[in-house]
This record gives sequence, structure tokens and C-alpha cells, in this order.
Amino acid sequence: MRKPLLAAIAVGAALAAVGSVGAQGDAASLAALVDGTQRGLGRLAAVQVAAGDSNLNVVRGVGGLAGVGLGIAVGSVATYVRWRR
Amino acid sequence: MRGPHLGAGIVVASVLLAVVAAGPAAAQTVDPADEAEICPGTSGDSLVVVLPGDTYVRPGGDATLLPGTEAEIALCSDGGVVSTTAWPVDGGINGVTVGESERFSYPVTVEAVEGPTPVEFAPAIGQRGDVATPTVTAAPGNVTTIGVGGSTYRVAVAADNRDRLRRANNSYTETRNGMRTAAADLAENAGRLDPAPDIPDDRRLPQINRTRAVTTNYSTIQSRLFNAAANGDTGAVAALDAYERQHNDALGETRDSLETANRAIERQARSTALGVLGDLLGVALAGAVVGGIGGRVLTDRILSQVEIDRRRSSAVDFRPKHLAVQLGVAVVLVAGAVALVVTQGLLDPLVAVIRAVIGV
Repeated sequence: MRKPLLAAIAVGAALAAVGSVGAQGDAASLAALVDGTQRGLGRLAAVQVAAGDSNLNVVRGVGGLAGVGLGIAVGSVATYVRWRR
Repeated sequence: MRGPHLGAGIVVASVLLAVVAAGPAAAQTVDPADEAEICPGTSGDSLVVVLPGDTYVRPGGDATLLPGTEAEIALCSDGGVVSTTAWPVDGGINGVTVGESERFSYPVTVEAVEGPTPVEFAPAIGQRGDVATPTVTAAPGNVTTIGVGGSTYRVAVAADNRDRLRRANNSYTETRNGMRTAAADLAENAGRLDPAPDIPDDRRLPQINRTRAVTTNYSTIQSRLFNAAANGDTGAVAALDAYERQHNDALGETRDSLETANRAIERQARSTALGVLGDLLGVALAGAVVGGIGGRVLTDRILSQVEIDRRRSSAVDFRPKHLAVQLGVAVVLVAGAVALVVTQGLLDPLVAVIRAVIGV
């Protein structure tokens, strides 16, 4: 009756030891997942800053200024190129 | 952390195959009906130690027992168990406490010892005459009860390690459950999140970001239980196994919740970013149309004037300065847009918007 007990103890301990290696790896992958979640939340927070009502008006203003500026540049150069031909 | 544990596990497995050992648990009462299991292989008067799990240590065998272990001693004579009236135990037995006699056995409990202590049965049953006894050693340690999930396990650990094991167990349980609960909450509410931008990222998930504490406490628990298992503690082996299952289940649930939350967060960020980018590009496109028309009209006027002047003088030709005003205005407007982004603190948010849209 002694041998089955010993075998159970040995197998249990060995399985726990091998399992602990997997558990350590799981913890590491979980830590990476937590880091990813934090980055995702950080990005979401930043995006929501841009989407806030007051900031969104600024964003529109930025788009308008840049658009008009680029439009003037492109329109002028295109007109000149066409005239030269 | 992997090497030591794997190594310890292999050592534990090897040691346990080489020695007879038993952890703290209660033995069952000896019954003459079981004498066929208790007494085989014995001859003459033989004292048998009955350990938990129907394990018998007979003369010629050896066992290392931990404090708190409850066992029984029975006497076999010519293949049958002998009533305790025929072999009274006089005085104490070093290393164990002897309880009130049963009909066919004496219950014994292993005492706390400072170091490995041989348990000498023969002197106490000297009235019986020449009795063969097994080699039994009481090993130092203390029995403590730890809870894993809904079950409790009796584990033999040294006194100085007992408190550390309990603290680690309590801390581990708290942090592990905290992580699991927080991850589940996050997964449930990720689609409705409104994270405050003034909270630093490293404080945004304080409950979930405790992987290091969980891992450290788990390693401490494993180390203590491995040591107990190496001393032959079956309770420690069972506790290790239970911890392993609980740990894997908890981490698995936490991981699933976080993956769900991450997908929801990513969807929400992308959806919001597309709205912002749509506004930005929509207004920019309208501005480009207006600016393009304005630039064309202005340049047309300048070029018409140049053509008129050339009819008067061949020295007149178009020069880059005729585009200077238009390009100057364009540069000022674009620079103004950039300045607006920087001064309003929108550089990082707009970078985040672009990254959320393209998914990097």
C-alpha cells in the first residue's frame, strides 16, 4: 500500500513543478496583456480628448486653416503651370 | 523563477521515491477484519504503524513522520492483530504522544521535535518481550491549515515559515481575486469607458496591474509547499495541485476578460478617432476647395496683368515673385494650423487618433 501513496506524491509534486513553469509563463503573458490594456486605455483617453466638444472645434479650425492654405498653394501653382503651357 | 521550481519539483519527486513518508492526517481504527492487510509479511510479534491512507509500516520498513501526524500502532502475532490488553504501553514513547487504547491499537500523534528524532517503540512495550519494530523518525515541522478555493489542506511547515505561508496565501488570494474582479468589471464596462485623461497610465488599472504581486506570492507559496512536500507531506502535494488549478483558472479568467476589454477599448477608440478624423478631413477638404478657388482667381488676375504688361514691353515676364503672395499666405495659414495644434495640446491626441484609425 505504500508504493501507490509514494507514487501519487511523486507524480503530484512533479506535475505541480512542471505546472509551475507554465504558470510563470501565463503570468508573464498576463502582464503583457495588462500593459496592452493600459496602452489601449491611454490611447482611448487621448482620442477622447481630441473628440471633446471644445477641442473638436479647434480640430475643425485646424483642418480649415490647413485646407485653405494648401488649397491656395495648389490652386496658384496649378494655374501658373496651365498658363505656361 | 522557473529553474528553481522545476529543479525543486524533480528533487521532491526523487526524494519521495526514496523514503517512506506521511503527512499530517488521521489514521483509521484498526479492525481485526483488516489483519490480512495489516499483518502480511510479519513473523512473531511485530509492531505495525498504521498511517493515513491504509499505509502500513512494518518491521524492516522505515517512515519519516511529521508533527501532527495521527497514526495507530498495532501488534501482529502469527499473522493476526493482538488485543491491546495483551501488550500494554508503559510510559511514553519518545517523539509521539500515545492516546487512549482502542481494542486492537493505540492512537499516536507525532510531537513537535527540534530535529529528526527516532521513535523508539520497543521500550514502551517491553512487557510483551521481544517485539520487532519498524524504523520511524519524527521530523521537525508544524502543521498549519491553509485554504485554497473552498477546500482546506493541512500542511506541515517549519514554525518560521508558517506565518510567511499564511501571509503569502492571504495576499495572493486577495490580489488574485482583485485582478480577476477588476478585469471582469473592465470587460463589462469597456464599451462605456470615459477614462479621465489626467490619470497616468500606470495608475489607470491599479487592481489589474498586480501581476508581479500575484507571481511573487505564488512563488513564495510554492516554495514553502515544495519544502513541505519534500518532507513527505501529502497535504502539501494536494495543496500544490489545488493552487495550480486555482491559479491557472484565475489567470485564464483574467486573461479572457482583458482580451474582451482590449477589443472593446480598441473598437471604441477607433470609432471615436474616425469621427475626429472625419471632421478634420471634411473641413480641410472644404477649405482646400475654397482656397484652391481663391488661389486660382488671385493667380489668374496676376497672370492677366503680366500678359497686359508684356504687350507693352518684352522685358516683362512672369517671375516667381508673382506667386510669392499666394504661397506666403498658404504658408502662414498652414503654420497657423500647426501652431494651433501645438498650443492647444492637440499634438498627442491627433497622433493617437491617426494611430487608432490605422491600428498601430
